[in-house]
Amino acid sequence: MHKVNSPKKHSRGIAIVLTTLTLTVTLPLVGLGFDVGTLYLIRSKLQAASDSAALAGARALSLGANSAAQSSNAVTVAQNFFSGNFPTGYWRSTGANSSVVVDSTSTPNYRTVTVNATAQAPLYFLRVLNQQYSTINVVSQAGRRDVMMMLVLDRSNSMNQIVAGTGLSACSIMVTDAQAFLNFFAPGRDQIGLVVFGSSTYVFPPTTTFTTPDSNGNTLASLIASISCYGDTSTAAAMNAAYGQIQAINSTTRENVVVLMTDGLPTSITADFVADHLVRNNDGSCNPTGPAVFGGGTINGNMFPGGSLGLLVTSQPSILNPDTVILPTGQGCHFWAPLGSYVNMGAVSQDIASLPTADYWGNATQGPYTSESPAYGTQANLNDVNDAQGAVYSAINAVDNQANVIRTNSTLKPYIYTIGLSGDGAVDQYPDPLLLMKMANDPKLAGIAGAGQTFYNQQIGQPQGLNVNAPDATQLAMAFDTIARQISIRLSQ
Amino acid sequence: MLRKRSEKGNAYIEFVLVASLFFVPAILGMVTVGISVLRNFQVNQVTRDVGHMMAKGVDFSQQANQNLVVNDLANGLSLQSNSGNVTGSSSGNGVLILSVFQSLTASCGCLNAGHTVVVERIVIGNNTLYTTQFGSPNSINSSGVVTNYTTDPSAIADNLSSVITIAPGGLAYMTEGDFSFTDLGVVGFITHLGAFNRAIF
Repeated sequence: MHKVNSPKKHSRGIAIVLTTLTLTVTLPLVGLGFDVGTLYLIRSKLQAASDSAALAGARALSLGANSAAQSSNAVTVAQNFFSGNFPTGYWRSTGANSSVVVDSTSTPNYRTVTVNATAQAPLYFLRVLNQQYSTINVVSQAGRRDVMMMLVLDRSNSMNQIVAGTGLSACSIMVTDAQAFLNFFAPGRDQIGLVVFGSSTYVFPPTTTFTTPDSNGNTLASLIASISCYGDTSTAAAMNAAYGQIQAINSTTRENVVVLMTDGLPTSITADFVADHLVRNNDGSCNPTGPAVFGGGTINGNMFPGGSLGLLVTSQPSILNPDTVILPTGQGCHFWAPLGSYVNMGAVSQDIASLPTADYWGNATQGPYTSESPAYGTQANLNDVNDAQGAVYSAINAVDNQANVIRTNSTLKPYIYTIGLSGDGAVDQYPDPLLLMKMANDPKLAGIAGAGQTFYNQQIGQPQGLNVNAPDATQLAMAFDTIARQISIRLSQ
Repeated sequence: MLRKRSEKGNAYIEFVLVASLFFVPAILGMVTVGISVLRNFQVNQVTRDVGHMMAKGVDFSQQANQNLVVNDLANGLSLQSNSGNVTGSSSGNGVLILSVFQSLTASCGCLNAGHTVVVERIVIGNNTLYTTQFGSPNSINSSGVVTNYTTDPSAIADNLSSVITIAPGGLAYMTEGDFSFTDLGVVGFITHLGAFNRAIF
């Protein structure tokens, strides 16, 4: 009996012992897993909040009238974003706080926002080691590069059309929206200049004090306010002028940016017709001196409203007097056509033999855009000078090539952003979205079968900007905002 | 001997019984909760990464970028792609709502001046699972841009101040992620598992 009963007695309670033994191993493991999991969760959230704060702080460096105010705003915004992303008491954490430091001096044209965040994570099972909590510390940093930006605004005659429902012209709406656009940038740090163009261009050199009146009492906003709209659309000349300013500043520490707003196709090209031996000058009376603008044009037989046809010799315009041109009739040329008239178009060939193969700045006028874009199909016929459509095609090629020159500057790496304003004039005078996307090297080109894909592949590796289309002038503010946000994103990384 | 033989292994049987009644459910529960926690981590990570990418300029109106989220970042979360739109679909077990907010300054001279408005909104995934409380704009274009956000009252999202304060003229990039884990659960014990996270950049 003893032998029989013995195993039974010994077996009694074994399950409890085994269970207890198992629990002594599993419970600490579960506890360790729980505490470590909690720590990981809190640390992950703290890091996300800290990253968010740094990036938002860097973005806020554009808010404020001067560098000191911008730094102060950056600190406030960073702390707001930290609090917004790390709720009080998250997983019973305590003592969450962030310290924000803005460094404006260590790197030229680059400011950094550093966020140092801490929180106490509670411990539950690990309290057996006499630790009530664990301190978590994370650091994040983001920066904002100063921008060197040329704002290029189209003030061609078509901008004078009244926008339905507003009682305002597209020109005046553009003025308001372009002024508001400046609010996205940092006075005292960012360098901003202006090019306004019709047939000719007006240039206001870039300055960091764009909100401070200059010696003439002008700020950038007040200059924009005085814009009035006349003339053709010499887009290539305007882009060249903007690029010239970027080259003159020659900053490799700033982000170089060109922002173009236009409401139509380029309609005129600039060339030195005499030097290029393009002037027939049959009667010896037509000798336009220096660079002259061959402007105007038609698409599908419609003449652009307000478009002049022929050579316009420009003087230096002011912001108030945009297109001070010496009409070719004043220089003995035959072919200037008055507004809406075709009367002298047939006489163009009496004065010039052909359009130039390159514009005044060397941009080719025969391709490649018009030969590759399905909307234009064939290359510009430079010899058919009586058909002003040739001027349009040439101008399109010239501006496409000018944009290519800008984007391929591997030292300054300028970005181009474009806004196309539709709704002014006839549909065939609207800006060509494909051209503007190509100029900006917009990544969306990749999604456009045919020419878009071709252009995208040709321009891989070049700085990628953005094109925004405004269906009418009431959408222009949002287009400017979108561009500003994209630039802000690029500057703040 | 017969009695002795019959009692052999009793302890193990008892242990198995205890294990089957206690340990097995406990382990199953732990596995379920563990997977759920891992997916919570993933949801947090997805919302954070997408928000961060959006704030750094990635365009999620592009199908290729949406596919990147669905197939890589949210792999295993049953997030369905949109097939070329920015408004979501009604399939899948998850949704990401991407919003850009702007605080319009009083000087904008527009109807919504002084308000916080939604300027961009892109929904990826099942839009029936969750509706954001921050603005409900009437018109959004194919790029996710809210049209007329300066004048359309439906774009106003002043209640964003309940989670974050935006300085006048400032921006905020928000991602909200809501996911339902329909394949997880222990019948009668653990049901309706899911995760929600919000990240603001």
